Amino acid sequence: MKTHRAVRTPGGLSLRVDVRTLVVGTLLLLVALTASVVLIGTGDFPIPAADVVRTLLGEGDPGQEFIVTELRLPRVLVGLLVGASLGLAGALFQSISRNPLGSPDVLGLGQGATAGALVVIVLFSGTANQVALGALVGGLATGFAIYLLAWKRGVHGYRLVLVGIGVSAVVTAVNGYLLTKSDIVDAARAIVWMTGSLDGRDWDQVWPLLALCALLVPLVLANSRGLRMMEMGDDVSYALGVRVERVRLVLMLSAVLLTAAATAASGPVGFVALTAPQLARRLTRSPGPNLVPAMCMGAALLVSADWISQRAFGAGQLPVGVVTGVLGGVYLLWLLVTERRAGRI
Amino acid sequence: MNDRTTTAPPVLDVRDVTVRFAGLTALDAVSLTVEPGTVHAIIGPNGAGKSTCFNVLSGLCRPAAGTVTLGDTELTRLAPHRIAALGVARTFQNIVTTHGTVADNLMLGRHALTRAGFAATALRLPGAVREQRRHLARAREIAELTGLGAHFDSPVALLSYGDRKRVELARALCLEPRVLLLDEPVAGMNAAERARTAEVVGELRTELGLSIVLVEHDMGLVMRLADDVTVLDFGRSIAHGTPDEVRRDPEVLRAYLGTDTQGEDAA
Repeated sequence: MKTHRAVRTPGGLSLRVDVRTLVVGTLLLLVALTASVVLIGTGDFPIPAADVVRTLLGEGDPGQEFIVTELRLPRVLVGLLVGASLGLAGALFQSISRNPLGSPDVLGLGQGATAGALVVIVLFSGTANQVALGALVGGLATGFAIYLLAWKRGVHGYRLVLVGIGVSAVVTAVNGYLLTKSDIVDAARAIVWMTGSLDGRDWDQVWPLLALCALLVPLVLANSRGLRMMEMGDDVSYALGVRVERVRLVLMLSAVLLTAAATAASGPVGFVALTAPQLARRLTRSPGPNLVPAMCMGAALLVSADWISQRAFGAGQLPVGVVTGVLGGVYLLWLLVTERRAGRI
Repeated sequence: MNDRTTTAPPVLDVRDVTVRFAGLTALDAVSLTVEPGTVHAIIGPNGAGKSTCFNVLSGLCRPAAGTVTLGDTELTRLAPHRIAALGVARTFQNIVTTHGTVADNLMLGRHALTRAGFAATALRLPGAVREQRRHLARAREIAELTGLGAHFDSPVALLSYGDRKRVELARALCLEPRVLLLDEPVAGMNAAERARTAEVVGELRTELGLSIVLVEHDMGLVMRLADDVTVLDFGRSIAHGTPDEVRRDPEVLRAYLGTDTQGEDAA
């Protein structure tokens, strides 16, 4: 049973809060931040968590400060932002398509971004920044193509998923072709990029992603009430005065941008966009898009996965995308199995 | 509290509306006029075009020909959310509510009337707080008007079928409509629930002065509530008049009521 509490604020506002959602969101945020601190302390030169916090507050010794702020903090920030972006984008797509399979991984947005990056690597031997730009363009183009193909007087759930799977198959084939055409140096570079990794990320990746999140997260949250109403169906939402098609376009565009930017920063990290919203939803046991919990879940999942991969296999050994797949997938399966036993779906 | 409801609603006029679906003519030059503050029932056998007519009125369906005007405003070319904003609210045959309490659902109905943006609400700016409080108070009034006052803070999932159906009605009222479109408001209800809903609809007309368009199979309810009745059959309007006139119309008896009108009268 869900617990609703009416909270009386000093202003006299009776605010309805789903306590469980609030608690889950806060806990996930704490997990993400704790994992970040631990992750910053992890590496060839371990730093105790207390020292990490002190350094982050600007009171560490110069040696630690260099390692923390120049080497490890940007990497962790990219991880947090990529996880949050993917979690949010996944929640948006799953809510719009009203289907858990309607997430960016399945729709081929990651593949599209990969295609953009591969074109830059293989055909132009571009720099890292050009590769990121290529990934962004590739992701946007794929998102646009899916929207055009799936649009039939409004975007409908199954149609979106099926069109996405089709587009994904085509783009995957293109990626395979590009790899066979490349020489061995480019191919090696492409493969490293394609597995999704946070290695060697610095402030250059942080700022664009942070700016985009600062712009899109408020925009998305401002439209979240419309999204929640759209889960009751287009007709009902229209009848309640929601500008359904406009809200959907704005949210889909935001989700595509978030996915493409995240992929441009870290390469395609699998399963975060698919599992984070589902995990968040099951933890909050709250219906609706669960946008903020999904964001916190994505960030927590990605940073934890990065820590596990470094801890278990050493820095730079196992890309984070592999761990998120295993971790997120197993956790989701476990939740599904236990929920089935408990009689919930 | 809302001056829109204190003035008489404008006339809703449907002129020669035709809708075709891939060769099937769902509505064939249908005309009807809903006078301000009246209850206008649309009846007819299954597949007669009643729901299509509602979809035209609320903008979900574009007619191939004909016009729908609300006062001086033509609705036919407006997007559905614009029609809702003009004060035309509707309910649906099947119950579609979101999870959460009755209050949560009714506040969704206030969506279009809420001016404060997300940021102002999240930051609890005084203006947004005042507005939110005002909407909640109004939602509570509407819940009481529709007989849901006692359930205002209850989860919708725990309510009886009749109460859940009235949550949809109350949510539509939260748009402060001037014209209310009710698509089979008592379908599937037991006798007590039907009587309760009929009472509520009657009160709405007297208290809020709304125009109400009603699609309903329950002839007892139609005869009791309606001022005017339009009868559709195979997309054509075959009769129009007061309930008594329609009941005696031979064409209607043949097409819809059959010969078994005595039993319906007793209902």
